[in-house]
Amino acid sequence: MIQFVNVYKSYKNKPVLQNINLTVNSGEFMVLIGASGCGKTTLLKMINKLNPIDQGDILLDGTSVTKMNDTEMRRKIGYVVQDGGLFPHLTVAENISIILKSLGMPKKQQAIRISELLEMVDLDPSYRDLYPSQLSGGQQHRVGVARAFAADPALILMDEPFSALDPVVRAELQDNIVQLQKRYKKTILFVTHDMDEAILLADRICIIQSGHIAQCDTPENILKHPANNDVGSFVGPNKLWSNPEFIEARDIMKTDPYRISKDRTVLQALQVMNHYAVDSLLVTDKQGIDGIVWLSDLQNFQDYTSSLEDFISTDYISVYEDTSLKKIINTIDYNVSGIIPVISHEKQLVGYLTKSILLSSLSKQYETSDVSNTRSGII
Amino acid sequence: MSTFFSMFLERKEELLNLFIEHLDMTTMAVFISLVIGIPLALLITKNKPLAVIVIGIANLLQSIPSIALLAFMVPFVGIGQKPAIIMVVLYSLLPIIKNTYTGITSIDPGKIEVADGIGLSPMQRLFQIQLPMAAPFIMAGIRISAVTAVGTVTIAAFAGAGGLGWFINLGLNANDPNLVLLGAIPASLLALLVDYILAKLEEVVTPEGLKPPAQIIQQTPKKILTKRLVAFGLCALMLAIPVSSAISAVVQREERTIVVGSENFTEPIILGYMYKDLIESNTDIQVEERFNLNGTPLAFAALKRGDIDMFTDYTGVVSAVLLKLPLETDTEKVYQDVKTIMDTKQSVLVSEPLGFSNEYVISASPKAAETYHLKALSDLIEQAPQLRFGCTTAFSQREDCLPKMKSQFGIHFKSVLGLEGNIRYQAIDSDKVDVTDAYSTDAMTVKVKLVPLEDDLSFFPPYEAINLLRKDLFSKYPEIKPILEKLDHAITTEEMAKMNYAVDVDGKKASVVAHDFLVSKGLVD
Repeated sequence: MIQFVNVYKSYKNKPVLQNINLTVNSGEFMVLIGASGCGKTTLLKMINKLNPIDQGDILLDGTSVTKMNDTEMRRKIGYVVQDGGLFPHLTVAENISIILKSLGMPKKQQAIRISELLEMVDLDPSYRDLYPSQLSGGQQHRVGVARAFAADPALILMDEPFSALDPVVRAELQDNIVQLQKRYKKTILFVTHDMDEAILLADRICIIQSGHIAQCDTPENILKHPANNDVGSFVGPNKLWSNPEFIEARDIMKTDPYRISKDRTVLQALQVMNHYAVDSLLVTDKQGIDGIVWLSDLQNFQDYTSSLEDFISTDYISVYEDTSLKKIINTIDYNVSGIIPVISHEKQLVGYLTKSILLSSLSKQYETSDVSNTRSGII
Repeated sequence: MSTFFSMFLERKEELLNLFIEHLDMTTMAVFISLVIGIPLALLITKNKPLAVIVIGIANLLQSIPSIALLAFMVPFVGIGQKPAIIMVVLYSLLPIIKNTYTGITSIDPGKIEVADGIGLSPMQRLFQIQLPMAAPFIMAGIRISAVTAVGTVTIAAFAGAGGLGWFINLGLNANDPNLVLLGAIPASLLALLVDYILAKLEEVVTPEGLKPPAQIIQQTPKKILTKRLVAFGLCALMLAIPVSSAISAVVQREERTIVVGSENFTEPIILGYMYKDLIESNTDIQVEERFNLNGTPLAFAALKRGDIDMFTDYTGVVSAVLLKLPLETDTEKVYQDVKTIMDTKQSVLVSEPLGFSNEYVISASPKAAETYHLKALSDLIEQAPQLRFGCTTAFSQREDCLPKMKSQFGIHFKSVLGLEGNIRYQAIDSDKVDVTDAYSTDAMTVKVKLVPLEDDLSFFPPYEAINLLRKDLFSKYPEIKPILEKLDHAITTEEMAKMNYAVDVDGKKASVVAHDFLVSKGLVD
């Protein structure tokens, strides 16, 4: 667990970090994000004391870093930097074992550990004896990550590790690091300026703006409830819509669904449908949803006075209010579903979705701030 | 070429000794500059203002002429290998400090931060990251300084340090290009050898990973090990030779040793060999040679410090240069003054005159002498406006020479040409000049027929050869007093000139010429 307590840092008498109070829990993937120059890297490097703390304190598992021996504490913290940070004159194996060697691990054990680590980051063991200049950028990063994991530290600091890589390689490494973090239950502090990367990786995101923590929350909450306009604009207006897993049914559903009691007649149902121009109605009672009636089922039946009860269909999909948009899109059958009831976990109807609602929701990600106000015409 | 080869064969043993001596001094000096330079460079990487100062000083040292640096140091550290090695060290420092500094400071600061960040201690960072990454720079500096050192060490001969500069110096004195080459060629070969060995070392200490990817050769650990062994072996050998010779010198150094010094021209060297020969063939005392000292002040400083026990010089020089006495042309008075003042004020003993004088003798070509009826100095002054004068720069500059001639007699030559050494004789022989400043014992006066002009005006101070000795010498070794005295009044000017000729023109070894003379006089067997 890392605790930042009132951390303050200035450079040439200008504060670069102020009032930093933050707790990173063990096993948490915390992403520090902000525009360049906001102080995020400075903050990261204060943990392993590459930057001294001017005021305040940073506690690692309750002990102040200022009371720890620099070298010893750094050996217990993994450290990955932007270009991988490999030493060009050392082979892959030597780059990894430099930490193991300083910890006094026997040579044979080092060799075994190097093999494990290379496998862990999906690198062929034949890379052991190559030099960094013989590796691609992505491979260098994998070695850098392997080195950070070498001594099996509980905490790993990553300073914009993937920012210089092309998108395909970056995506691979992002996947890899998330898996490793979950599998080995590491606490990771990850600095980036890329919101997409932050959303993809983080358990929590800490947004730093001009030396302050602007907001620290889960990716979902940051997307939905930016703490202020600055955060909102930093996150980007459409970021939420490009991350459909964070959009839940309740965020886009319409409340007050068109409903009808099962005691009503076919005629009454048809009239309601006609009135609201819908092709289905939810049949409800106090306990919740009984089912659904479809226009097509009613239209061909001539006995308008017969009870609706016989026409209730249970052939429908309902979604919980916190089911993600992504999941809804992936599961529903567009040819069949008309109305999609949204229910609470207590099975109470809270709203509904339709194909047109989904469509308009998804189309919002293409909205730009300068939408023209033209209401008619051909586009 | 054939003379060069025969000279090589004749002197090959001496050459080998000088070669090893040269290598000794070079490796010793470079080794010392490494020990000083690299830590100093590492120290200043942390302090920019200090770096500017240190590199500035190293630059300044580099710009001092080596011979001046050497002469400056002798009064403080004496003669021999010590000032030579110090001089070479001072010269070698700049490339080592500068390259190490550049190598360390040009490492990407990001890498250093990572080294710290992953938990390397400052020492681990230095030895595992910084030094290996700076290795190509540092090695380049070492190679530059080592190769330069081989060249600079040749200057060391001027402070009696030996080495291949000895041959070069002898050759320059005798105007013998072969002898110069005999020193210069091995020195160049030594430079190439040193560079080759260091190139091997550079190859193994340069991390493979720092090369461009296309040039990286994946090597088996065994092959790397072999290469390292070879390179380190060669370097160890290079270091072992000086160390072993230093040890053997210490071990072999006899308790009873006299150091005979000599200035760096043929005449005193012959005299030095004579004293050496006399002492060694009459006593069991070991004699060490410290020949080739660059000039009277340096030799005298060495004598005062006890680096040498004796050296020969001339009354006129000692009087003017060392004692700064007013100009005096009375031969006897000059000798007595020198002897008394040296004894009382400097605690240095002066021997009886050795018999010959090495004075300035203005000499004319036979043709000019005949044409202008030149017999004495007074004739010269009269005829000067018709005569072309070729003289050494020393003669034209020294207060007691040409300037005094001008002020005292209003002498005015048709032309004055500055000529050095033996070129004067060639010039007079080929009728380019009519008159020159010769020395009375000069070898060339034997070869080139010159007409010496008598000093009827008592213009030149006397230059009687004398031996200067440390006062404690006779108290330590009373038995050598009568032995050294054997040379008192023993050599005529003509004999000395012939011996100089034998060495400078015939190319005989000074030691042989000295020995032959002593035998002919019945002084040794």
